[in-house]
Amino acid sequence: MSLTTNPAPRCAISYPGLFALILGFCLSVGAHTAVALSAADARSTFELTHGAIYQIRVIDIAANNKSSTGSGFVIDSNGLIATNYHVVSNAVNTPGKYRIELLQNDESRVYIATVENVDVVNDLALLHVPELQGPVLPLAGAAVAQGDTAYAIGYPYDLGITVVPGTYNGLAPHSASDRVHFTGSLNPGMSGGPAFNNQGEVIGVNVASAGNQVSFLIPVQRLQSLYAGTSMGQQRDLKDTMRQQLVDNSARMIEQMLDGNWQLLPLGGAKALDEITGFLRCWGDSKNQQEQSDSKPFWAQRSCQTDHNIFVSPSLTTGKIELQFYWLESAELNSAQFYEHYEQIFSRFVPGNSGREEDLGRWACEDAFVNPAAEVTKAVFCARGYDAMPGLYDVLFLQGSVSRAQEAHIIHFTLAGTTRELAQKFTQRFIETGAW
Amino acid sequence: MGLIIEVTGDTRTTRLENFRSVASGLLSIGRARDNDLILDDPYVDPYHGQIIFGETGTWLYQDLGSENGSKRGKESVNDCALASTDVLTLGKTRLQFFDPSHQVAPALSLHNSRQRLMSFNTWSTSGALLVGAILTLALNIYLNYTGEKLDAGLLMGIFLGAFSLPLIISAAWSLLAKVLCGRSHFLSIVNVALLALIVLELYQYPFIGLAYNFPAIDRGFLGVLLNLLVFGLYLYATLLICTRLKEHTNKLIAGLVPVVIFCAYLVIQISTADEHNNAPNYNGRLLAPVVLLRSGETPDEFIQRLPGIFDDADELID
Repeated sequence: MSLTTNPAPRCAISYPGLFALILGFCLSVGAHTAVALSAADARSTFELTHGAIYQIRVIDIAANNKSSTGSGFVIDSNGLIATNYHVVSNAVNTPGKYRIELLQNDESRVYIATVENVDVVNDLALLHVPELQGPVLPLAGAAVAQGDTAYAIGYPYDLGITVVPGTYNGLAPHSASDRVHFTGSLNPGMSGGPAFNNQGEVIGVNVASAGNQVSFLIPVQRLQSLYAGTSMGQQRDLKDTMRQQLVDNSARMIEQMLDGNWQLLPLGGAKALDEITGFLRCWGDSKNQQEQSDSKPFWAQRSCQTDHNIFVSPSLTTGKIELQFYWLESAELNSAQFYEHYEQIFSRFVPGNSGREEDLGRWACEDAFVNPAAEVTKAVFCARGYDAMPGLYDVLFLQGSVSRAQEAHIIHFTLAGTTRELAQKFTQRFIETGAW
Repeated sequence: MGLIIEVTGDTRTTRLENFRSVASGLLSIGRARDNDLILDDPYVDPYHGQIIFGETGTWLYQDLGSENGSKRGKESVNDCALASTDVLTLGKTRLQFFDPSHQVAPALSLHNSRQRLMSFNTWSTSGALLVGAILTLALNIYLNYTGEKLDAGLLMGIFLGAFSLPLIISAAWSLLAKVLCGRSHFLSIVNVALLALIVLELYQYPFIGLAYNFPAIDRGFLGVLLNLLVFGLYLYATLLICTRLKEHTNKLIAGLVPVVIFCAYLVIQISTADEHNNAPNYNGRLLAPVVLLRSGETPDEFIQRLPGIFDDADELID
């Protein structure tokens, strides 16, 4: 299984000269001392823990061979194994087609596991192997400080068990759900493996990488709450559990946004919302110099979104929140020409998440002229339901001014994986704040 | 006593020969210059055949042993009696025989629709229509211009592209008319096509304006229906000019073809409507504020529509 949830590295500005300089410096000076020190710690951590770390293979039953792999580790003497939800998502979504097998480096014994519980929002799963014997890994209670060395262990690319030393860099500050920023190379196949502090306690679960040593762990607290909420042997409808988790998560995020900062900041000739709350990051852009030689309208836009989608299945992602504000004006085009251009922009909005026909219903849309204050606007509201998760919807809202001859302002949001009540509440607030 | 012969040559040109009385009681037919009826057809013998007038006003045709023979209707004949309206074919020339008392149809009105369309063929009309078509196309380009860089070559390309298709189609109709009726009627056909082009360009403005104000009628199929209506009228006019089909046949074709196209369009629309698409298909039409004649609803009224949209979304889960 590859590390699927790569947060898109947006706006990755690099300075090649500077980068080469720093890299050269690190390699030449740090090579002897730092590596020598961490090698000793990495070795002891590995020796202490590797007996409790397994490779997880999701086996296609008909083909009788593995279709994807990941890592996992024992957290309970009853045979509970922690891993990422995305490692075993196929077995959760189509249980008849896949089974889950666990094995260690020597491949001497194969265990068959069942999925006990999942946390789809935080990308965690607990597997159960009743007959599993052996060491149990302790979960860290105390916090780690930024700069502490951490060790991630897993089975990258089916290459056997591997230790990766790295640096703990605290929680990623603007993430939609808590993520530890780990500086070290996580690779496909290591998903679900543990990361340790230098006492050999689990501080997180390997989950994703954004390249260049930028990797992410799920903090151990998330695993602890999932573990605490899992009573063994209880029959669970995992689909419904996931549905409820998505609803709760959407409620958490939307409530947090509603409590946020709804102050309007200038955008072109209009005013628009900015970073309402911590997990929404905004980026801005406007018509560039090259384009300015033609007579196309001037535009400026602000686009705010969460940093990652929630992985439900290889074809379905959800949980994305996007806000977008678009300002358009033209002195050179007449009103008819300006609106022709404006219509092209207004007609092309799409949601930030996607799924197949099997996962999602079709869009239902309605449009109307709406008069907030003295302005006339055209408003569009679209919703689509989820096939297997009743009560969950993706929502797209769009509103654009239509009463000014040569300028326009569009406001837009998408909420993926939300409920009727939350969407309605948010829409109301969004329209009221307006910026008209 | 007397005989009128309609002679139709290989080139479909027709002439009428009137023989009021033939003193000898014998009418000779052939390519030789001393025949009574000279047929300029290389497949006709110099002395091909003759008609003998009987005492009682009967006509008897006799073939004189010609190379290619003679046919009455579809049967080969050597000697046969002829009646009024009978047709003989000698070589490639068709002869139809009429008694002077033969009844002809009353005069056609110069104001029937076919005649009117065919007389829609003056150069001044063409010029006016061409100017009109260029102006409507220019208006269209002007209104749809959104600030791209323009050059003469691009504009020329757009105009040539817009006019070459109607011209080619008109030429094809014209060829058909030449084959079927012997005349090409090219100018009338081109003029009708230009007129249809202008109507197509112009009707959309009021329609789009209306649709913008009343989103309930802003449906793709209405626009297609209007386009096909114009196409049907064009087809009817062109069929009238180019063919000699009966009027109701023309009407049937002109009505059926657009209906069939519309049905095919609907089938495609309905079959693709169920297709999953990540991009929502909403009505994003926006027009200049001067076109917007109505006022909107309050934000609260809009919020009250949302539950209905969610109910629709529930219906669309399959």
